[in-house]
Amino acid sequence: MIRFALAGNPNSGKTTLFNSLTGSTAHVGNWPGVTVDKREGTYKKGEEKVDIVDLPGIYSLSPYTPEEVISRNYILDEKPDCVINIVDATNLERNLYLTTQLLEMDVPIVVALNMMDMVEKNGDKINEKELEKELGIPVVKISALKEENLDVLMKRAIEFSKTKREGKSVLEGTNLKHLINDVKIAFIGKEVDNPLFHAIKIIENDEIETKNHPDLVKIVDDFKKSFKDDTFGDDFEAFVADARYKYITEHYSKSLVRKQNKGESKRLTLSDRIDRVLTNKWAGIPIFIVILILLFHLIFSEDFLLLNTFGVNVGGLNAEGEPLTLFAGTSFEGLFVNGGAISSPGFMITTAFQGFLDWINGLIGTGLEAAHAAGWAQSFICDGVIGGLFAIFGFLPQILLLFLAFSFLEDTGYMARVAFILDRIFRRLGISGRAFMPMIMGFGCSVPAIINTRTLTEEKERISTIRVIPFFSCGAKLPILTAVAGGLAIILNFPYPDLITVSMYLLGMVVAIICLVLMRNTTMRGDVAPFIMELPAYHMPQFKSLMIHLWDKTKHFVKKAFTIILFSTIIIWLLQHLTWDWRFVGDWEESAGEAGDTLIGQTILSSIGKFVQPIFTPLGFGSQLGSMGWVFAVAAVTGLVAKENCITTISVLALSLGATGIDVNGDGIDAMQFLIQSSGMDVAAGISFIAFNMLTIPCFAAVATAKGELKKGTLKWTLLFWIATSYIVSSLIYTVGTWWWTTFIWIAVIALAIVAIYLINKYRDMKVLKV
Amino acid sequence: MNAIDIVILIIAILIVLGILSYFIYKKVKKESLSECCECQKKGGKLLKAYNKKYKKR
Repeated sequence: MIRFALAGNPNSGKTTLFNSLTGSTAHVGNWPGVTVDKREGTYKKGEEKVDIVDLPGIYSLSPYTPEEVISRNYILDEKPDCVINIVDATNLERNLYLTTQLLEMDVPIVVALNMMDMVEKNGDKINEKELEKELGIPVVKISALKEENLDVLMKRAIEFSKTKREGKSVLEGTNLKHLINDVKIAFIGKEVDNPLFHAIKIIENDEIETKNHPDLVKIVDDFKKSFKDDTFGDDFEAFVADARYKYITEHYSKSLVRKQNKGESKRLTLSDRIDRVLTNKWAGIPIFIVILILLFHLIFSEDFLLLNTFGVNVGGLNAEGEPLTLFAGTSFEGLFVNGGAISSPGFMITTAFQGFLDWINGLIGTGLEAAHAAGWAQSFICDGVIGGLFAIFGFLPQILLLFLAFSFLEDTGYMARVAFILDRIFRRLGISGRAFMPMIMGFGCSVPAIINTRTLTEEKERISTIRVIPFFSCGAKLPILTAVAGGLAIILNFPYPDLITVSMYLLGMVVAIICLVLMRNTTMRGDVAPFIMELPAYHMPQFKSLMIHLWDKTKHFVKKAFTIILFSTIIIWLLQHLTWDWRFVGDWEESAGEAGDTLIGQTILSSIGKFVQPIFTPLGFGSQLGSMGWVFAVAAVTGLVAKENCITTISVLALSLGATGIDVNGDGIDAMQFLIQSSGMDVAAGISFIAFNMLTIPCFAAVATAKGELKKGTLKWTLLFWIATSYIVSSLIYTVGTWWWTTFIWIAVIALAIVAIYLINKYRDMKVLKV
Repeated sequence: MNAIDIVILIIAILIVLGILSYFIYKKVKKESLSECCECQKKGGKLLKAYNKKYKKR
């Protein structure tokens, strides 16, 4: 019985056609994993029975994904009698890229122009006779969905399968013509089937070909020495891809007559005109950076119009000489005007929301008092559960606003363009441009950022990206940055604490880049998959779909808050308020004073803190801080649950250790200042503390999400990676900041590590070549 | 202890046990704790709607 294979791009209608031809009831869709393995059926409606194999959807025959390898190997090794190439007629140019590769094989091919009903509905026309003439193979118009012309397709395919066909390449008119011919002859000499296909693949530096025929790689390398293209240099892969698309545009696209082109000259669309500016070679990235800065400014800034920066105070100064803060002393303090500056919309919404949460907290507290609840119960509910949960919810507006902003940018089509621009930079680090989106989302919250890595198809790239996402400081780390930077600035009389904050953000990004380079040269070595994507036209996103998207994210966020975070908050509260002999230690009002503050030092959490304190000595906030050092260790531990907990813990413990006038729900600057001065913590140790909290294991929610997204067994290495990175970076900051001469030791160690990695990689490459 | 204290204590214990049970249940049933399971449910509904709309003749 003759055998046909169905090959084509994802979503071109292969499975629909397969079902129609074989009568199968396979699922239709673009869900990952629906068509990974080949499926077989039999066509019985014609004069001859035909076995049909439905191959996975692929964009090319280069071996970057398992699907591409399956399809390629099937056609080369199983040698079907005919390949039916399903082409989505509504996306002719993109689909024909695969066709140009299939044509290079010595196998009969028939093109099935699918979705013709959609083409006719759009008012367009395809001249299949002209296309047939250009391709040199039969072309049949069909509609797999409406089962139109399928009998004609099969009849022509059966007829054509009985003929012998030799591969033909669209690259015959390029500068590689002679090289292709030379390599093809070499393959014929080795009696390899499909010599033209193999020749072109080896020229493209195809992994499978170079592994199977290393002797022929030499011919290509010798040619490369004297070849240089103005645009692509000696990158044959890029040169070949470009040549294929050029050929498609020049020869095949004229078969398509679009409705708007009839009688009119081609004009630039609005999208094209916008792209000229936004994706400009020089202005593209600066424009993107400006958009990001504006975004963060809109959502996080407390001085939206930069009035304070220029010494302007809205509303002037009050009787005490302080700038105006609206609703001072209430739950909505600083709502529109904060310290003489106008807040950004994001900050206003957050302040209003936090005020609302404070009001609820107050109501609950009043209710508990009225019900004569015991001190521990009030502390548990108000300071523990409500305080813990509301610390998370307090940032929810800003997190959602950031998410909404990125959704808007994505739905308009802008992010697709930026992905291409940034691909050029990230590719050198071993990461495709598609990875930049989850990383930027990490500035808002690591949880949706980690989920967003599903857009990355290459596993090693995905793992690397998930690991560095927490280094892009999320919104929850803002309190830590604000408090420590503010405390240090007051002590040092440094007028720009924002500079410390921005530097810490940059530190996170620099560490992420260095870690990416390290991973891609050690444990996550591998080629970067080519990045091919269709750019959609710019369009205003639908309000409804944005809101649905936002609502989904809110639901997931709330669900996580009321599970893992609630659980963790309760456990942390218990450990903070119980001694080993189960004596309850009250909140700061009860604990302050002679009896109280010693009890704080005997709780389970403080004992654990004192036990682990020596570990942080190389980082600057361990044993050298004496009896107060455990506070920072405990704050770092509670920060593992939620980063905001870090500052809440600092505030509570600062009060119990003798500080007065600290607002527990405030920004923690006063408390941090007190602890820094009392413990003798220096600047280097302070920066090291920030760095450690920024780079270490993120909150439980992010860890749980990472676990769900990573392969089994990978999480433990990821946790180790986070701990190691935060420890090394923090100790580097502390030692270099405290003893300047240690810089040379660090340089020597890093240089040795780089040399060792280089030598190990070289040894591994040589070993692979020998095999 | 007042009644309200007992109620709070019981609710707290139930919450902790409930969340623990939820995680253990998910683990035993080998279900994902992240967004994956939500997407799959959505995907299944969309697929049914598609097959219903484009019925085979």
